Amino acid sequence: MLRIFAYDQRFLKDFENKQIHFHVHDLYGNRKIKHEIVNHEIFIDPYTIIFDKLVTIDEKKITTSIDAILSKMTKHIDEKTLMHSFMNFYQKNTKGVHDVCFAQVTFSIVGEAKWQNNFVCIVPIVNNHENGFDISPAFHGALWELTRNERRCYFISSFQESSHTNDDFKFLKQTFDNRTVMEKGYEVIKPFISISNRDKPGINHKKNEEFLIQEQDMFTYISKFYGMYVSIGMSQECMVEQELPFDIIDSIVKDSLNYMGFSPAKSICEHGGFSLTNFADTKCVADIFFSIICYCMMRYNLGIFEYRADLLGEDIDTRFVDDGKVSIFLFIFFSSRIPLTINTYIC
Amino acid sequence: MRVIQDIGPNDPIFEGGDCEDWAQTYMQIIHNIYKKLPQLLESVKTFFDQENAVVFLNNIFGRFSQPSLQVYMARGIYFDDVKNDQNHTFSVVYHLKRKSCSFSIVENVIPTFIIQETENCDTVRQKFIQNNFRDTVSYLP
Repeated sequence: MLRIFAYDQRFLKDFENKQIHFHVHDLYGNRKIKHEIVNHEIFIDPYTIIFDKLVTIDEKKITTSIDAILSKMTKHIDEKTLMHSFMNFYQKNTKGVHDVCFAQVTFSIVGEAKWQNNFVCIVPIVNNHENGFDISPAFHGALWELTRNERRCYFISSFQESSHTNDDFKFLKQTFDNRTVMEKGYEVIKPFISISNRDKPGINHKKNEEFLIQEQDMFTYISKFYGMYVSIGMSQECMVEQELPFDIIDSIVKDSLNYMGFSPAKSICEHGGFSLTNFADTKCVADIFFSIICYCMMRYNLGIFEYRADLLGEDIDTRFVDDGKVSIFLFIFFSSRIPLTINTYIC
Repeated sequence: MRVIQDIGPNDPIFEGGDCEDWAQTYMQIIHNIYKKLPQLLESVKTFFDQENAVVFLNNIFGRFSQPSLQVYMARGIYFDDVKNDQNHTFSVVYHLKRKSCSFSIVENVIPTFIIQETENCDTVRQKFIQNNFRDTVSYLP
């Protein structure tokens, strides 16, 4: 049996004395891995794991790339050391062909509905065949869990493996613990993030308002849209160009026209002789129509789900209610709310 | 920000989100209405059986081909009370009449409209409420 990590239930505070269950499964194969708990330590049976083969790494190609990168990094000695450590560490661990498995661990507290299948950590396990198995420290998504023999103890504690005691690993672990890696990453993307996250204008800067307008650059306002950082402006253009099904557009337009006073059942004359077509050239009616389209866009969504009375698009997908009565109140709310929030604006 | 994901049978068609999402969805709909206008006019004509509805829709979106009326997505930037910079995304309707132009704001997150209040506009609004929402209590200024 392989010991992958230890846990200390005192860190669960309110659930210190509750019974907890751990679940271990292969991250990629999604296969369950047999495990046992002995004295607050988790053991797995490595012979129940189906290892996936890693592709052979072209060592020479990697070394050339590393040299090319390092030759450009002359500014900070820390960065250079960090890069060296990364490369040495991963080169060492990816040399040749290995069989690897990423064991994902979750835990549940018995009787607590909110504490079911909570993520704990991922433990990489390497099968070195004749040399046995190599367990990497547990990784909880941002940091490697500290080892148990260090000063402080956490809910999850890794075990120090002999293969991870070299200087490179110590340096890497230290940089993760000190958040050096994140800081460096932040420095890289800093010019592209919104100005609220950049440095604030100091006393030597221009007036704040002037700074705000001049420094605002829509094309550097980025978001993690496609799983990577892209310009919001560009991604929005793509979305706007995307075609919607005709039925959706048709329903929204008909709904909007209905609100504007056109009714399939009534003629315009029945609306007190008020014909919006007379106003169709005016700016005001156009504005009203565009606002109504916005309202109908949300209402179309509501046609699928009942919704609570205070309509706010920002959380429209989180506040659904099952009670059909809400739609009645909704109509009343809208009837009273929509045409009325009129504020003065300028051109 | 909207995230691309599979939509299931019980999911809303338009995903909720922040101001950018709604402004984006709104612009998507406006663009689609313009692109599919001939088809829509036919559909509206059959449904309403009124020439007025067709004329009205054509009057609004038919002008999109000219510079007199356009809808844009806009971002407003400002400092809040504690001098933090903030921004909000919304839509603007651009009007051009003779040599004067103006922008009207359409708020997309909470469907309200923000327009310049003039005598004419107030008349239209009163009529609009009277005709469509007369049985309900309105927040009249």
